[in-house]
Amino acid sequence: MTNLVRYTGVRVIDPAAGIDRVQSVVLQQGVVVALDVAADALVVNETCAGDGLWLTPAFVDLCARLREPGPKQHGTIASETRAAAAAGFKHLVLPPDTHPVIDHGAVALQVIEKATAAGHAQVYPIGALTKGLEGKSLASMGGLKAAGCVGVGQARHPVASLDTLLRCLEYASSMGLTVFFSPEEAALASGCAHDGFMAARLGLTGIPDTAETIALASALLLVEQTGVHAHFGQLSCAGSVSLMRLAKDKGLPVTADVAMHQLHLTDAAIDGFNAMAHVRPPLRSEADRLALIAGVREGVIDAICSDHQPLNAAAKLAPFAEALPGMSTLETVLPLGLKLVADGELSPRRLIEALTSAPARILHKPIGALQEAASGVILIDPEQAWTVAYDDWFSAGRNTVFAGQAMRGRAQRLS
Amino acid sequence: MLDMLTIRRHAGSFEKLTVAIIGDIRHSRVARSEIHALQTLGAKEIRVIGPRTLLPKDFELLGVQVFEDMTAGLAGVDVAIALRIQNERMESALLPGSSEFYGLFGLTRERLKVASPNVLVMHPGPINRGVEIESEVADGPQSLILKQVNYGIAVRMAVLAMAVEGQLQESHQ
Repeated sequence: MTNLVRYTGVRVIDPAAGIDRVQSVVLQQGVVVALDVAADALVVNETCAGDGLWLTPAFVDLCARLREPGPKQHGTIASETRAAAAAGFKHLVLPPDTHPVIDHGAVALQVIEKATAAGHAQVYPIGALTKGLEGKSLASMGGLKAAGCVGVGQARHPVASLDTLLRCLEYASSMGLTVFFSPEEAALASGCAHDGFMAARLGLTGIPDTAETIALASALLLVEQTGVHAHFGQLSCAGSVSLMRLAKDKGLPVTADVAMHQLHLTDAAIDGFNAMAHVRPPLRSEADRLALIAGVREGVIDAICSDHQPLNAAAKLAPFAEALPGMSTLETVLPLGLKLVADGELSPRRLIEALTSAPARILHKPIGALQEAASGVILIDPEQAWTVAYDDWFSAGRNTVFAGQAMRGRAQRLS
Repeated sequence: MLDMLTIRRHAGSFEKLTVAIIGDIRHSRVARSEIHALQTLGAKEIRVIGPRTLLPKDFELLGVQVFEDMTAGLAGVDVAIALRIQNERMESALLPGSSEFYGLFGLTRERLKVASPNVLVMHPGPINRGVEIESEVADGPQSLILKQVNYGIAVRMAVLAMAVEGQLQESHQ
């Protein structure tokens, strides 16, 4: 065998296989070929000391906007998948609210081909649930599935009526497609910040947590009625964690994720009208943040996503309410996750699971596990210190609330 | 600033004052500025009065007393500031109509009987007579509404003068 590289004394974390132990590992062109004593026994071309490092499957992100197809002033498939690769991600799910909308197989194919040509990460489009995301009539879900869509959804676009939503879920169920929800009741979501004291003091229109829980509750009831597989993404409040817990206890075919920044920030971050902290769903209260972390710890929330939304500098140069919502997040996911570990909120294994095997299971893809050839492997230095600076930043987005802040932990893609 | 000047000229020191702000607190920049200013100047008690649809969430955390009833809210106040209700709020999901609002939250002579005997009445203008305030109160002896207009000119002149002076100093340096 050729090109065999051995890492000695590395902490291998592979939640899919139930592995979390310091050992040797041998890779051939980025694929794990031997572990532990078998790895020690192999004759290799090169040996690297892995002390203090973690070796895990490459990360899988359930929600990343790449700004392409679209006008591209905020980013491209090439720039954002490059940022993803630099941050340890190899697999990205793209929501359908692109321009044009991913409501036709041709758009989905174009996305997949462009990502393949760029060569940094695999992109998995979600198709539109309704034509043009207009919420009125069924999109061609069969064609979307054939083109490679991993599911269907509305992103944050409303569906005209519960009757229409019910028909969409029935049809998606027949197609064997998972429906991706970003639950939001449009009538309650016209504001720009969490409906709490901070919004009251700043005079900003609030978005109550019921904007999310009402949409989530009605979707869960329709999921129960139709039996469709449903995933609820970017949850933001304690009420949603309770509803997900009830649904899972009932045995419904549902999963959930939360954006990493929701586990760190609260609406305190918007003080001073800081437009960088204008995100949707909004940053909520400390009680919500703690409930979301507990949800991840207990597995009520399966996965952690980036909810990456790159924007150029001009997009945030407006009064808070008019500044476009969103944050460029891919490159801060790992250090923020490691901070949860350092704070004792999550175990290393649970963190890696929420970024690898848990999202892989939701996508029904053979990724996020070391034994899968397509998974990709990363090497993490959990102690490497760095500072968030746009000069040393791969995303085209100039919109992180963490600019200038010290971070700890970086990943390197081995395949 | 002009409201703070008005209060200081006519009511004296802030430390002894209970001030109530009435009406559409939710959509009011005036209410928020006044609460910050009154707190900075050490007012004894600040109250906001209005129906829940016009009150921002968790506003009591700002250090103000929140009242949904006029009689309770006006009891013993030294200064009552009525806010303008925008017409588009009427007959929406926020308020059922102007006559009901006047009936429940209008600043009338009758309602002011529970306030301090020397209560001062203010309003940022322009006023809606018979909606947030009774004409007799707006034009009455306790009203400072026209004084507010006068002081407003003085305060604006002062602010402009200070801004221009600052510019001149910078250009000299």
